Amino acid sequence: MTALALALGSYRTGGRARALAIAACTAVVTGLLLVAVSVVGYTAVDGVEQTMPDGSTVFIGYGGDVANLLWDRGVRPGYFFALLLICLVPLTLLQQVVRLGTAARERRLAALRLAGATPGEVRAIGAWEVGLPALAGGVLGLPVHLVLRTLFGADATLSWVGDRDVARELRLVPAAYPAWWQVLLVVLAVGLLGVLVGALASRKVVVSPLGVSRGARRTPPRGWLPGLLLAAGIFLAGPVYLPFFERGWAQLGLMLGITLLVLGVLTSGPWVAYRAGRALAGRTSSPALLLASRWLVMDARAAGRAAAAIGVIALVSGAAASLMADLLVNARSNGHGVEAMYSVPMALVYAVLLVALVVATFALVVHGVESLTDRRRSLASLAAEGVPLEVLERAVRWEVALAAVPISVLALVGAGAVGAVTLFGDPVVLLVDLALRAATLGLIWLALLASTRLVRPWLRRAVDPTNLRTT
Amino acid sequence: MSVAHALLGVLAEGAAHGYDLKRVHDERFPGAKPLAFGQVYAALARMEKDGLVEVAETLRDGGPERTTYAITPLGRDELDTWLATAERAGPYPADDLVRKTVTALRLGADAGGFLARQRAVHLAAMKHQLQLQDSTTDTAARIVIDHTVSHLDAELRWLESAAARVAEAGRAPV
Amino acid sequence: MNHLLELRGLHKSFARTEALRGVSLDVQPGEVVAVTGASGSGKSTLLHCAAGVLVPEAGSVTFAGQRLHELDESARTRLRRREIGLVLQFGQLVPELTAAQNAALPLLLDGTDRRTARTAALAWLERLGVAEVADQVPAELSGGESQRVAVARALVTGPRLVCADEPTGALDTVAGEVVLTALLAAVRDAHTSLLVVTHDNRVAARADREVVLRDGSVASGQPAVAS
Repeated sequence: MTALALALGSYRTGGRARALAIAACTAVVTGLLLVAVSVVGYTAVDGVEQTMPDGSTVFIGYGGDVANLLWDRGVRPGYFFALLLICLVPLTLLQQVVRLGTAARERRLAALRLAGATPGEVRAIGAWEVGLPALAGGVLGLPVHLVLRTLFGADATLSWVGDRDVARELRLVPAAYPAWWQVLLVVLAVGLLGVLVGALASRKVVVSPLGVSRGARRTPPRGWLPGLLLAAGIFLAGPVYLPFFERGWAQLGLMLGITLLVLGVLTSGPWVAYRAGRALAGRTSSPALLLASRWLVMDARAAGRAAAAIGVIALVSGAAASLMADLLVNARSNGHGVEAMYSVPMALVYAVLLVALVVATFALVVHGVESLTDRRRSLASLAAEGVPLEVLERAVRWEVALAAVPISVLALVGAGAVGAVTLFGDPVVLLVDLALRAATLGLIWLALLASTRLVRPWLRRAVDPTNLRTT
Repeated sequence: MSVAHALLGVLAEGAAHGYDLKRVHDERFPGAKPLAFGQVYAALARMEKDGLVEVAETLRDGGPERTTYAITPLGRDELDTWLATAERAGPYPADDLVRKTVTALRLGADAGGFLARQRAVHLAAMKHQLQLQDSTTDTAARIVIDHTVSHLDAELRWLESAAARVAEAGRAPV
Repeated sequence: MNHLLELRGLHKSFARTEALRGVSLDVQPGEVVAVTGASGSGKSTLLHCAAGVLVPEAGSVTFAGQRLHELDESARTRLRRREIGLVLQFGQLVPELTAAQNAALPLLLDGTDRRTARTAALAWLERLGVAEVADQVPAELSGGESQRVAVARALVTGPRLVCADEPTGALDTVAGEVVLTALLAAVRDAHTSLLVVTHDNRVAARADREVVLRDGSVASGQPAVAS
């Protein structure tokens, strides 16, 4: 129980922001998972009748007055899958948030190892430090689910939405609550996830009580795993299923393919960042670019992981652009507008993407703050030797840009490559498609600028001459 | 002249006779060679002649004659002048240690072994001084020992770098 | 002879440097051994191997009859926290814990109840002359005070061996002397062995025996004094 006591002790001193952020991330994850669980348990009424003023009943349609995503058995698995994918948004932030205060925490855990804590005990402390707030977040997920259910419940009035069809498509959350044991399972699973993440985060310290040798060269990230995931993902998510699209297994394969693609982009972040750094390090004569690219060559993992979230956003946005173009092709050919059944989910996708981009910006900020803290000594000495603050600020911006832009471009082009073939027939739609992709890239660039602007105070703190004396 | 000045410093705190002067002086400089009585009386005689000290009183109670000395205003001036003047820093003469080391290195005859033996002797001397220091609580006395220990430390460092240079020269062909 | 610590033919390399090239060394019960040598001669690595923090690539580390290098990390850590105290140059205290909590930590990790551990820790802080800072955190302590708290932590479990790596290295002469005197008095009283890595001749002079390392091997060492 010493481990627990020591973990609790850490919240007193500086660990509070980290604990709160972990709880916030896991609360959102829990809320989304509870919605997903209730979607699995949803049983739709196929035919819905409405009682008229004269007492007669009239058939008004399938699935009642709820979103097509919910009542249509054919797309419900896809909706469930999409909800799981959305969980990645808070999860990628969680991955960065866990890094908050890494330098101090590693020092503390190493000091504990030195005092005689075994690797297991240190791992337990690290696990509790994340596990407890994650569990708290799991419990806080219940009100999050409640809020989602109140706003978008199957029985919600949604009086603020003008259009009846749009309102219907927004009734996305089943009215029935998940069973108590399902709730318990989800909360415990989220807590367990936290424990695992915490144990992983302290694994470097577990090795040596002499502390983590910071700045020591680590093995560069390798590309074969993400390459394999991406190749398998492209194969499984590709158009091979078109002839069999009505079959259940084809849908499952498609979901697996998308999962692999997302995992592929997530894991390739560090590798792409490393290659980008390697490519530029020897060729540039700009000091800011040289610094940024060498930072990536020495350790691309942290920046690469933060940037990978942006890559996934680009991937999803690229796929959405293809879909959007496809919808437009159909709409232009049949003369009607896009139906609410399609437009509302599309709008939701873009809304989620925007939220995800904001969240990813914060993930980049967390990364920036942590790496500036790590490098404060060298940054302070550079500043002391007369390197202007603007150059250092540009280096910070270049680091995230080198990590995030190449992977985003690749994801945007890759996601569009398949869809683009069908678009050559219609120049207007092709233009819309390209515009959407360009807009995505523009927004990503804005996010990068915003994140470096937000870390500026920490850069100022890092170049403070007092840091010359810290070790 | 500095023994005389140190004695003047003792007298500045109050009149004393020769025996007390020697005792206080030796206490102030532990680990240093004790003063001989002859040295004390010779210094007192010279200082009396120069007008730096004067005889305060002469006692004779059965035993030998005991003369108590006191510092004069001139003596006080001399003491203040001495304290206000910085000591010269070197030059340090090449003593036997340096002569032996350089000779050993020139001959190339087991210079490393010589250095190691010398280090052991210096460490033993330092250990003795440190034990002496542990046994006293008087600040001034500890400061005096610090001086000796620092010199031994400097010579040990010099021996270390000599050993390192010998090893370095042995490794790289000149 | 019955050695407390027996190091035989230790080899240890890091990325591109060979820190230890076949070092052998014995420490008797109650003996104070100083390890000296130029920077990069392998002193610290030797100490870390002796304390069971690092495992050598070749050679054996036998402590009180136990072959340390054959134990796994957890077993070594448990042995270390009971039997081997460790004092580093600086920065080994847990920054979030008070001096008393830091000193009590090895006992707490070993399952001692809080009250008993605190009493023992306070007794050691008292002995080392830092009782008045017991409830302050490391950032509020001077260098000398921090080191004395570290010494208290190293001794609180009543170990048979204390390994100290430049315990006075970050301190000025006077503060260093206070720490060193306290450390030596404590180990001599308890008949604890001390293996101390140092470049401070004052520390080496106070040891029973000096072992000089050069380029990862023993250059010279006085023969063990029969005790």
